[in-house]
Amino acid sequence: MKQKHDILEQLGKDPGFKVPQGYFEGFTEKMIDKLPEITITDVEKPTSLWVKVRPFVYMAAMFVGVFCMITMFKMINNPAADQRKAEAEMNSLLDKPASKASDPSILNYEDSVNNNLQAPPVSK
Amino acid sequence: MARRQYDEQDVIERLHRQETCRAAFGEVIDHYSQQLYWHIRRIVYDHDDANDILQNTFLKAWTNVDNFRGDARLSTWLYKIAINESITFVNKKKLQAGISLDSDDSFLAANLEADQYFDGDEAQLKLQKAIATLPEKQRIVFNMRYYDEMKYEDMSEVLGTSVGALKASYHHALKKIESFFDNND
Repeated sequence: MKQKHDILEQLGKDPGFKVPQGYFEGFTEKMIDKLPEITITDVEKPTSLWVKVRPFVYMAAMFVGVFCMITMFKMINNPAADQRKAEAEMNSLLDKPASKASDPSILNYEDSVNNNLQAPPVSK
Repeated sequence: MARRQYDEQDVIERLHRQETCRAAFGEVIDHYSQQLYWHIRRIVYDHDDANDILQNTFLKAWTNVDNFRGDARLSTWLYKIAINESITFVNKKKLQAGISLDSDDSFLAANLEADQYFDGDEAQLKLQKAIATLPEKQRIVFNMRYYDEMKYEDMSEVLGTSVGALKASYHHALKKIESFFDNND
């Protein structure tokens, strides 16, 4: 295999062929003169549904992309707003009256705690 | 007249308009004539034969230009026509010489040293004779890969053969050329 590569490397890409002088010059003109008259039929290529809707899909994708970028940009540049929002949520949870708690077991537990906290009877 | 820069997409569009198709085809000839000529020449060896086949290739392309819708590349389409024309020519020549169509094309290179349009040295002559012993398709694959340095993917489009099969074919061609050189030292 090595010898073969050596042979091909030595020979290079020149096959040793040549053409008559000036063969390629004027070939195009001579060839065009030989071309017969033809008639081109103007056939409209059928357009698929995808080709028709493609610009609208691309435009919608672009708007979604821009919206996501703006949202991310806002989040990155305004962390204080997030913190305020989190604090407000926390406060609203703390301010919520116990009676409005959704789990009745919590109320029962609170009642039992209140009862146990009442002063014990004084022994005589 | 100043030549405009070749723009394939623009040329294809103009090929499909009656008023511009001839000028556009002129650009196609201008752009592809040399590479197609050398490709054909390496198959048939003789300059006059290569010249005839090249003209037939362009004539066939011109008369069928209406059917070319631009789905494939122009080069792929032209290479396909050129290869078909060359194979048809070689087979016709084999029949005329009473040679079996299954035999290799070494008869084409038999008189290469006497050809006035061959000025290669002994080693180049030997390589051409080695290439001529390859089966037809293997010879075309070798030429496209070795001389034209065409990508396997592009060759696959032209020849309608898988990339794997083309790689194997090229490898076998190299082996055969090596053994030709070993046996003819």
